[in-house]
Amino acid sequence: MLKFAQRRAAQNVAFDMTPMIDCTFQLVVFFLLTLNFSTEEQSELIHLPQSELAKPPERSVDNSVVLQITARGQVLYNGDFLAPGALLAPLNREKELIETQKNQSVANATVILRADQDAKTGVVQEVIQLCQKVGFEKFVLRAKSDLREKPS
Amino acid sequence: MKIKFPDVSRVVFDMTPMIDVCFQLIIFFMLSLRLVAPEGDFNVKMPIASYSEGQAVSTAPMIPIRLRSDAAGKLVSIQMGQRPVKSFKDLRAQIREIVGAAGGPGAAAADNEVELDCDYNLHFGYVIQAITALSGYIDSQGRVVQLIEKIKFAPPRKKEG
Repeated sequence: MLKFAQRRAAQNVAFDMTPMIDCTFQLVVFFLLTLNFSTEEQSELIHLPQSELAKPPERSVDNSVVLQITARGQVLYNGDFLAPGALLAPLNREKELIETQKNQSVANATVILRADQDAKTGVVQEVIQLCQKVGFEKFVLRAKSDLREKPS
Repeated sequence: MKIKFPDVSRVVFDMTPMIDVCFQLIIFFMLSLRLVAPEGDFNVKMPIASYSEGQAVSTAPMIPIRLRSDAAGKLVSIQMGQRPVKSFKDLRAQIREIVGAAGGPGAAAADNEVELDCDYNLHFGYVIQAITALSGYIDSQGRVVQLIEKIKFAPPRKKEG
């Protein structure tokens, strides 16, 4: 008799799924909000130098070309590793694109340089010179925010 | 004849597919999650090889900063004009003196211009440290105090080795 009663009680057990579903939705929302599609142009091969003054820009740059320079002196552009000298042709294509499709002057476009902290400064300067040959005039050097440093 | 209505009180939703989908979503977002530190930009100028006739040449007082490195790219010395500087902290202190003497950060920030003359092999990280020291500092209240706004590179030095 006792055994029968226990079995019957076990059959009627119902789990309340509500808290689990709540948590699941919370997690889905959290991951949705933290998902950042804008990082697709950031390569993990580049270890940016840190600076306590590097703060994210308040508004995004309209016309920009991102050039990433590795520690070994190669330029990562559109997923291809190029020698700095081989950058002229893609930069000219970029210029054409800005002038014809976007109807803007290349002088108003910004070149964003994401150079590795161990990259040679001379290579960075060579890349800037190549961009200048094509007609780019605005350059920004990108650094990672360093929040550890204490205020002076 | 009695009409039989379905027993609505006994309708049970099967939650399993929804929970399955939610877990799939969680796994997708978890795998695509990449926590990236925020990034910021520093504006720099670099002189063009030859100035065209109509081009404006800066008349701002120029402070030359020389950064020397060894063959491996490690910083060996910092020099401001003819004066040797011990560290980037010292460089910032000297810049603060110059800016302070010229009437405080707000007034002098737009006036002075710094030219960075770096060795070819110097690691780029040191350049950013120098630019950080020259650009400003964070005061005790967490505000950014601007020092030098105009920073430019000297023409690149020849490749070493």
